[in-house]
Amino acid sequence: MLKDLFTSAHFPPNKSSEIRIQRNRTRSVLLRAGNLVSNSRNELKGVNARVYDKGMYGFASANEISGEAIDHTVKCAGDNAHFLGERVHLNANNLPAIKKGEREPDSKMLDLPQKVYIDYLNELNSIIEKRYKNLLSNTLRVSCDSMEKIIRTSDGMNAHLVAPRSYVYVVLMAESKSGAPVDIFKALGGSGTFDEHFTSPELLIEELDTLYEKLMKKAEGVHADAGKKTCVLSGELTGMLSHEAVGHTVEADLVLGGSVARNLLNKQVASELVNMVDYAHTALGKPAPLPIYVDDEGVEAKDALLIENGILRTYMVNRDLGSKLGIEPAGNARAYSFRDEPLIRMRNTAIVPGDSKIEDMISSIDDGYYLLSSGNGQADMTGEFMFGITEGYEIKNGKIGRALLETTVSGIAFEMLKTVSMVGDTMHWNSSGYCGKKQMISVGLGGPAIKCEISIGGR
Amino acid sequence: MENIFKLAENAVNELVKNGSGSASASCYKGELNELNVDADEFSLLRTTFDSTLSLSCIKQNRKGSVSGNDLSEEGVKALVDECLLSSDSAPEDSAWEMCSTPNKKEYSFGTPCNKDKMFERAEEFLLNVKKEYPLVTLEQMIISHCQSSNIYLNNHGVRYDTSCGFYHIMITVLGREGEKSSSMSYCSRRLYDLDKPIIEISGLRQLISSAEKQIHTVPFVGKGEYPVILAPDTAGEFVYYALSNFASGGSLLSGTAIWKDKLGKDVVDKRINISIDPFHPSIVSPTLYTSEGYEAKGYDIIKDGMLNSFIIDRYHANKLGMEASPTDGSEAIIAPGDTSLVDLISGIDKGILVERFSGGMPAIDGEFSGVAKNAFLIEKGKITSALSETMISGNLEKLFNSIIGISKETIEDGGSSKPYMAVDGITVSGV
Repeated sequence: MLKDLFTSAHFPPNKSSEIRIQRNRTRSVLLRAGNLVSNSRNELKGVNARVYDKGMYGFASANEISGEAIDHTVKCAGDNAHFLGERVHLNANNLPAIKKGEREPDSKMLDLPQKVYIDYLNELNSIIEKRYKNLLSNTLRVSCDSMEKIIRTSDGMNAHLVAPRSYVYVVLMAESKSGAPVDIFKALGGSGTFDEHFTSPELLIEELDTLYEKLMKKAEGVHADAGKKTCVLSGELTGMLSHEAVGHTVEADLVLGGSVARNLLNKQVASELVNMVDYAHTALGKPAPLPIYVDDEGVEAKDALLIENGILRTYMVNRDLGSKLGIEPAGNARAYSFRDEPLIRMRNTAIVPGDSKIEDMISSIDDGYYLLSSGNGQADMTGEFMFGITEGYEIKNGKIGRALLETTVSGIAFEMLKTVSMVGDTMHWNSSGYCGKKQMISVGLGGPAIKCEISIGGR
Repeated sequence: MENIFKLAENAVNELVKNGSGSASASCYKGELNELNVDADEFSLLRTTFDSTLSLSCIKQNRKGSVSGNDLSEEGVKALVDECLLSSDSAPEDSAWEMCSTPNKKEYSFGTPCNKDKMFERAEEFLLNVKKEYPLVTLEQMIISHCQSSNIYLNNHGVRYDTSCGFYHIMITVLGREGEKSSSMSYCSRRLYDLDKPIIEISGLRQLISSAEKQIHTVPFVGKGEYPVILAPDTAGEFVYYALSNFASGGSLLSGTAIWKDKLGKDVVDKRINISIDPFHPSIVSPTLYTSEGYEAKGYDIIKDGMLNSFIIDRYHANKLGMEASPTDGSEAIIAPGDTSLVDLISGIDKGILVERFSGGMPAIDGEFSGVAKNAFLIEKGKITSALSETMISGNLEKLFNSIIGISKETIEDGGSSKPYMAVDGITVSGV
């Protein structure tokens, strides 16, 4: 048993320390225009240790899982913390203790042969080629990643965690009315193993039909009229807004780095209709898309209520910054691989649903846009954000109009959120992407549709 | 080196013994030391010891690839078995290829890690910024040194031995005054040594002083087509987007590349020259061979505005009956022009300078829209103020055919070299 490698003798005395054994497994298959252009399997595992000494962290990792490797990384991490400690002279106290505990995994690191993924995509490609005559091309990808962690801290948390994710990404391409290529994208799947989400490609036909229909509308699409507009953002976009434009500004490391939220705690930052939570493992009575039970500092995870009735209530912290800011850690310290130290990260960040119906939201707008999907998003510490819009429609006199060609929306989060006048009643989750902040990490983004004022790009 | 050579050689022999016509192994062993500064304070020293083995095999025209870091005897055997199974599962495709011309090369670059020097340079940089730019906060600085040995070999007598040590510096800054903050400005540089102060590195002073100037901004008034100067990182980003969408193997195979019939024809302004050159003097830790085992060579993608070559690997080239690019590296060299940045600015009556573009990947036809970040207003030939959020939109093909001028000055970040580009035809929309 890997857990047997741990003994208390590994921890340096009187220093907050963690040891983590971790395995990351990825399976990837890419089919481009029916050709298998990538067929790869990857597995990385190892051990790491982090030691806190006089206000400085030392970290070390090795790609070997053994008692000797643990001893080596603990010593190296301690030496690194000492190296900084004796040069910086911060002489901070040890970190406040955290709760002891035990956690066993509720998933398994199941694996499937590569043939399963390849056959699935080949079959999916045949369906697409036969069924949709006006396509220029398609790209299909299977991406499965699973992560297993065994965490032990000097405070007495012992946790064994397993988190698999499986996705099929579909890109359909066609020619627009002007002869230029256009595309549309959909990610399917979620937390769990591939066979839990995908059995027969035939079962995706309804989703594919909808996607194809949307692409045909987009091929006839028009440019958005640039400027500030009244828009309905779908739950997918609300999730991205929650994560990119608000979530990052309230991560404590970025708060101390100068984010706009440093002056906004307990102030009105959004319409009273807006509530936002970084959910740990359960949201609205159901499992969150990427449940986190214990973080990589050994902290038992709980929800972080970020915005309550429009008022900013807290920041997301790790143990070190929680202690400095007087905020109790909620389990936001997460690392991607055995080589990585835990950073303050979001988990499942969402605006909480309200009570408006999507039909009422659309019918309340005379001239605006209904924006549904985004290809990417970026945000700044000022709260300025940008999302690329890959699927959107005009709203004219309360009715959905023509499809839009690709465009961009932007704004300043804490100004834009004050314009929210309706919040939809249905939660939409998305967990297919990664958040990049030194390391990549899987995150869940969620929310209902919202009606707001937002700047849209275009011609 | 001998140890990882044996490991790689054994793995290749096993793949061949089990029916692979071509097999390759790439074995990496490295140590990374990384110093972190967060919010102006030292926070972490991180050391990682790492080894990985990547295997590829082509068996009856079926290709499989695997990688892992368990280099025990059982670990390597499991990886070999996975690679064989993976290729057995793939469909036959005669486009897969591996270099079959024997070639042996040894490369050695850079310097070993000096942790004390890393700390000293970081401490000195913090002091320099505080003294010269008191309104600037170092949100994050990461200085790392990577020392690695790598062996690539295949069963056709190809072997490359590389040992390399280099530093990598990533810096994110912002300006702060009272309750006001600027947007983030960031950059990344690769270096073989830390001989000079960090603040003296190419483009660093410009980055930091820009963050300070961006604290107080004004909106861009109006909407219309105005001249835009793309700072080197933005120009490089737009070039990357254009080449990915219009001239890459993936877009050619998908049939969406709008330059698919333009090889040997003019596609952009004649003043534009873009090459991939791993051996350019500014490049640190270059790509020395392709994933198929061919020795890397530099090549011109755009020569005097003409599309000279696609960016295409062997597989995609074989699939499409084209010639493959001689490297799959990304060391982009955009040739400088003959106008100084000051002259580019002085020639503009009203326009903007964009230091960063926040817009993501443009549509496959090259249409883009996004936010001009860290942008400045140019009026009557001078930079007059920093701009708040301003949207820009246009088309990449049109943009690169509407060049006003290209600067003499370039930014060299260790992975590329890029000038400023002044262009017409971009729609700028303010408030």
